[in-house]
Amino acid sequence: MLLLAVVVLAVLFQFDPRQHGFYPKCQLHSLTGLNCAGCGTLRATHHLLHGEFLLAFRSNALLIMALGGLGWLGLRWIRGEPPAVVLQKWFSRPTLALVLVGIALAFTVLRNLPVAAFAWMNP
Amino acid sequence: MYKIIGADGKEYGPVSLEQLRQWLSEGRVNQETRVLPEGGADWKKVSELTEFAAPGTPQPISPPGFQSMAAAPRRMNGFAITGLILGIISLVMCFCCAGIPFNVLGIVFSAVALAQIKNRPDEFSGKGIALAGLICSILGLILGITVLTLSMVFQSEQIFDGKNF
Repeated sequence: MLLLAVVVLAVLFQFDPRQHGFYPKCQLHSLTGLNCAGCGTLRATHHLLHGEFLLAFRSNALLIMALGGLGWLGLRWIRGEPPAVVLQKWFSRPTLALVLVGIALAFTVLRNLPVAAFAWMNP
Repeated sequence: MYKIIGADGKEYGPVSLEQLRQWLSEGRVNQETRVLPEGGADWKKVSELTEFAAPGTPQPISPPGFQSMAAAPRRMNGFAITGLILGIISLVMCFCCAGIPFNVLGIVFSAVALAQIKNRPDEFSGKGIALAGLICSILGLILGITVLTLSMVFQSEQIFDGKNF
C-alpha cells in the first residue's frame, strides 16, 4: 500500500497531469466540461510535490483543506490523542459530516460559476 | 483532577471532573474504567467513586413485583450516520474520481460503527443505518471502479484538454 502510494506520487511528480493524457479522466468533466469537487486533485498534488502551494490551492482548494485536517489529526496524535479518539469526538454527532458535505457541494457549485470572484476555485 | 486508564491500556490525564463526565457520556469512559483521583493512592473503578453517581437522583427503588430497568436510552451511533451519508454520496459521485474518497471513507466509518454497536449494544443503536451505509459504500466503490475502468478502455474517444482530473 505504502509502496503503491510512493509509486503514484513519483509518477505524479515526474509527469505533469496538464501535459500527459495517460491519467484517468474525470467523467463529469469529459462529458459536460463542468468541474466536480475532485477536479484538479492530480494537478494540485503535482504542484504540492513541487512545492508550489499557491498553484496547488488554485487547482483544488478542497484537497488542501482536507490535508490541513489530516495535519491537525497528526498534531493531536503527537500530543497524545490517538486519531480514533479525536475522530470519535468529531463524528459522534452527524453535524460535522453534514457541514463538510455542505462545503463540498458549495465548492462544486461556486467553482463552476463564471464569476471573476470565484475564478480562484476553477482549476 | 483525575487520571484514567483508557481501553487501550494507556494512561490519560490529568483531566477535570467535567471532562471526565463528558467522556462518560460519550462512552469513552465507562463504569469499569480505572480512575486515579488527584492525591489518591490507588486506582478505583468509576462505579466506586461517589462523584459519578447520578446527581440528585436516589437509587431507584423497585416496586415489588416489578423488574426495574433503569438503563440509559440507547443513542444513535454517530459513525453510522456519517457512514450512510458518505455511502449515498459515493453512489452519486461514482462517475467522478471513481467515487474515492467517499466510498472508502464510507466503508471505514460504517465498519467502525458496526463494531461499536456490536461491542456496546446497550449503548448504541443504528445497526440498520450502519449496514445500509456499508452496502451503499461498497456498491459505490464497485460502480466507481467500473466507470473508471470503462473510461480508461475508451479513453481515446475522449477529448484531452489538460484539465481532466
